[in-house]
Amino acid sequence: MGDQVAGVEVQERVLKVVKEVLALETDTIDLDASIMDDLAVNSLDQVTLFLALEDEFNDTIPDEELEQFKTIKNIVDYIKGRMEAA
Amino acid sequence: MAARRVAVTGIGVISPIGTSTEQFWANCLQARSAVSPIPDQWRQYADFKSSIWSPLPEIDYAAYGLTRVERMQTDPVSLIAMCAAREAIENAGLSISLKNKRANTYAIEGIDISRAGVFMGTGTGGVKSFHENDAHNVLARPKNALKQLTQELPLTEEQASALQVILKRWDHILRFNPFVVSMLMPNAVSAILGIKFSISGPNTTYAMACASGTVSIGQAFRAIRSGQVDMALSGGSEYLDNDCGGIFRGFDIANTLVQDCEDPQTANRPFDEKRSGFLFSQGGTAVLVLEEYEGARRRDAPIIAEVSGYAETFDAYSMMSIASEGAEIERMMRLALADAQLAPGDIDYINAHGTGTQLNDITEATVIERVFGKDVLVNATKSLLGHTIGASGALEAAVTALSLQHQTTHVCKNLEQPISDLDFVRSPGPREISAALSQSFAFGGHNAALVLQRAEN
Repeated sequence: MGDQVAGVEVQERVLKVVKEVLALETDTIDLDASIMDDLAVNSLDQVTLFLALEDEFNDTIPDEELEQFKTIKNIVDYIKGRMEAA
Repeated sequence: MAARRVAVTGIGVISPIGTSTEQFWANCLQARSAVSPIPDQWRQYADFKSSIWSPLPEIDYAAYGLTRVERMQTDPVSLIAMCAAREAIENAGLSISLKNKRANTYAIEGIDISRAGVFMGTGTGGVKSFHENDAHNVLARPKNALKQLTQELPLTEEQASALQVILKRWDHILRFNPFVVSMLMPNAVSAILGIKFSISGPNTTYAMACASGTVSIGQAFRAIRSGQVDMALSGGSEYLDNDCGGIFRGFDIANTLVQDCEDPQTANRPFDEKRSGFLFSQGGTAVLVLEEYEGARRRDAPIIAEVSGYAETFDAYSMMSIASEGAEIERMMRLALADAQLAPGDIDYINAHGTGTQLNDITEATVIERVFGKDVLVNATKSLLGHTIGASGALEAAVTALSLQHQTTHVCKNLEQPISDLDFVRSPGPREISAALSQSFAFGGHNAALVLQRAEN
């Protein structure tokens, strides 16, 4: 699978998990939206979101890395990076 | 004013022999059981005297409407209780509607949520979550350190391979779960049902080991009869599994488990001369919907049976052994009968505690004969399911209610040489059962009994 295809797939899977965990009805999520402010995510939701992402990608995200994720795009880029490095 | 009566209007079950009440009851009547060798991987960690258990079938949580988030944040002991509660509510003819999509919570339509309660029992709560997170806590860093060292040391191929075997045994989950506290706490079992179905009356978890399920239904019965609530979810749930077999080992090392495992299908023999201990079950749950009788009748609820009496006593004798004279068991039986305003001769059927241990069965059989004589029907649901600890009393109350409803009951499986002349159930034919007793005795010394009666037509 090419890098570009893999990247699109990662984005789709991240968005699927975000919609599932936050029970969002919308079909479109702004990748640059602030997770905490625009998506109204509290700290418990955030932990839940990352647990679900770990489950989706069968990977662990170290606790110290969580601070860096301000937007959905940050998450997508991080997971793409992990997959490329693996 | 007439005393308030209590109806069983719904039953939900997850068990080794069925993941719905219908399947469970059909398999009970066919004397099916689910006996298997213990998982091979447990033997990497310890030697065991018993070698069989009664596992649960794989449970499709998504089919019960449970989300990935719920599955990640909830111990199986609570997940299976949610499945059974949903079935019980639906079987009671009650409708649920989605209340909060993100939380995946529901409201039961047509009930006063402040006058509904949850009364659940569990022996150990979320012990699987405790074990697996503790394993992560203890093993994750040492394992990484040893891996690092393995790479740095000049090891022979043989030494490196031996170290890999040890590292593989240091198995643990990938991350320490941030929700572990709410997963392992015993009260999660009742709390999760209150949240899931938006029930805001009394919400209580009873942890009385093997009597937990019976106590919970008894307390729910009392709460409805006294007027505290009009409706309750009640029962018990247990999930006793972890990847290294440590929970099984606790019971095994105490010599409580079935010893003679040469023929796994006949090893579990409550009330038989050749009994050698109880069959350990991976778990199970039963949830009963109890309702104030007249209210249930007004809404045309399906009334499966009536709960008419309850009693508890305590041995005050030993943490792990019942008192051999059974004095407190006898007192409990007589108190339960008095509570139901029945005489011993009114009881047609007893669902016994019947574990298959030497002392339990002889004591129980002796006391049953002393109080009820030899003519009362007796069976042991543990002869089919093995011992589901905190769920057992609830599963047995479910069997008792279904026996009253269907006027038949299951056999006492593998009973070849009975230890007494009691009328043990040997065939599943039609019976006349008007009143029945379901009883449980627990580590610690707790005794509890429910009296159930046939619903009026």
